[in-house]
Amino acid sequence: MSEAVPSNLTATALASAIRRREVSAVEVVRRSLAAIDRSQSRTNAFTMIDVEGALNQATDADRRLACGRISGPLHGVPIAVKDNYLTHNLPTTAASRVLGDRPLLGEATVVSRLRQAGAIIIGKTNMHEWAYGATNEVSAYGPTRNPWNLEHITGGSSGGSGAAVAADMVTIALGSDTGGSIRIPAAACGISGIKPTYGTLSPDGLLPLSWSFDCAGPMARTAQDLAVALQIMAGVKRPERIVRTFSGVRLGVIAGRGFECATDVAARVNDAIEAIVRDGALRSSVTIVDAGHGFSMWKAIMFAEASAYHKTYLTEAPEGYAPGVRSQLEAGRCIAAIDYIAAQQFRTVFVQQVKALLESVDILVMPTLPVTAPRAGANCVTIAGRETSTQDAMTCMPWLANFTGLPAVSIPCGPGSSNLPVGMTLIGRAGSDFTLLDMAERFQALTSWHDLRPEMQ
Amino acid sequence: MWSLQRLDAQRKDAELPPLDEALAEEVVTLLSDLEEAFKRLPAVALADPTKELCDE
Repeated sequence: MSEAVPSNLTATALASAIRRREVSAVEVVRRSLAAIDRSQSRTNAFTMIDVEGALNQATDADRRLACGRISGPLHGVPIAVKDNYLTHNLPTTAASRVLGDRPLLGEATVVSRLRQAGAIIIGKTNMHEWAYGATNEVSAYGPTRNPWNLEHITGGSSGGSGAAVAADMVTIALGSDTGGSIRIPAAACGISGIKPTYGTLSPDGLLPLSWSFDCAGPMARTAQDLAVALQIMAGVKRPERIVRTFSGVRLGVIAGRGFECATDVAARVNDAIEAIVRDGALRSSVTIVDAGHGFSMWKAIMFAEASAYHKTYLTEAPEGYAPGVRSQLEAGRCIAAIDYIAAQQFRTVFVQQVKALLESVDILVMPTLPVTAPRAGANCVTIAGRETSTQDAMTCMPWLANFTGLPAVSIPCGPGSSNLPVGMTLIGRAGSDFTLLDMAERFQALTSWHDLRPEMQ
Repeated sequence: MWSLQRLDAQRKDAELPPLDEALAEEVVTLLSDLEEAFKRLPAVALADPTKELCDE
């Protein structure tokens, strides 16, 4: 590592050091490439790494800076992009064999905005095939592994992005989130991630899974970096901070059926809530009515929409899909139109109920996952004495924000009993994305869990 | 209730090729779970789209 590269590896710190010319963009990119070189063979976080392109972009960034031209808040900062975003200089595969040699042209709007703000795309990150799974065990490039314990999964579907940030390969990575795919690996890998309010970020150039749930979003170590990325991706200026402490903030802690979790997870999240309460928040317990039905209807809608998008590929290249992904797509073909409509109708009522709940509290709080990252290859996990599939265990809490379209941020809140990270989710009202990040930033000013780093074996 | 026979018949109707047995069994499990979920869905919770149009 270059001596000049700040040890406080956040995008904000790197960008500031580059602007002050304490370090060059080339040095920062070389540091990032060296970290990838050390960790890629163990984590399999990337599907492709653009060494030459990244160094060329960095050289150009340094040249422009020497002329006094700063592209934007991320001038010279390397970032990684999940392999389901179109990028004009790198192929997009969705970690699947299905696309084969069919090139997907263009560039996602949010990627283009990050580039214009000075970010350097250093590579594409590994993912669960077509984002259709929450473990990252199924990918044409092989599974990703958790930097905190290489025998455990990263969670998915943005697991490569989670591992890349956790192992300090990059400071910001893009994920996408249909049922928790940003927040699941963020929690499992001990970093932060936000699923914005549905519609906040353009989905243009992001390969769909289920269009009425899909959201683009950033993953980073800190909430501050998430806010920097989000404002660039949304093409807006971050509003003046409204929340500087939790004083008077009404927390609705979600409890009850469908939200049970392991004791070590419950303990860490409770400690985190107590830290927020000590800062002035008011705590109450809330329940989500019909959560079980909601979880099932979220699946039904996703199955139907995913199969509609994949109809042509599924007909022309069915063998290209991994079996676990194909079975879901084949099942989605059999969902009747009236059932899909019934699910959407149920959703309308459900959303009204949750929005009404958010009139009586300011934010909803829950663990991001009911367990820490499961062991690789485990098909089932036990939660509060009940056995469930690993896929359901990963999504049984995060689906709520996708089904309602509400913004949700996952932030680390300490290690569980096996020293694997635990994440806590804050859900806010529609459109309150930056307020939610203010709160996450405040939590990270009160605690230092986000600074913990894995010591890879 | 979904079964391999029902799946096979539905795919024939849709002019889709049969699935190998392991894959078909997985699909039947997924569809059976969803069918159960739809059966349990409370009818009172369903929004009336006509009402929504009137409200607008």
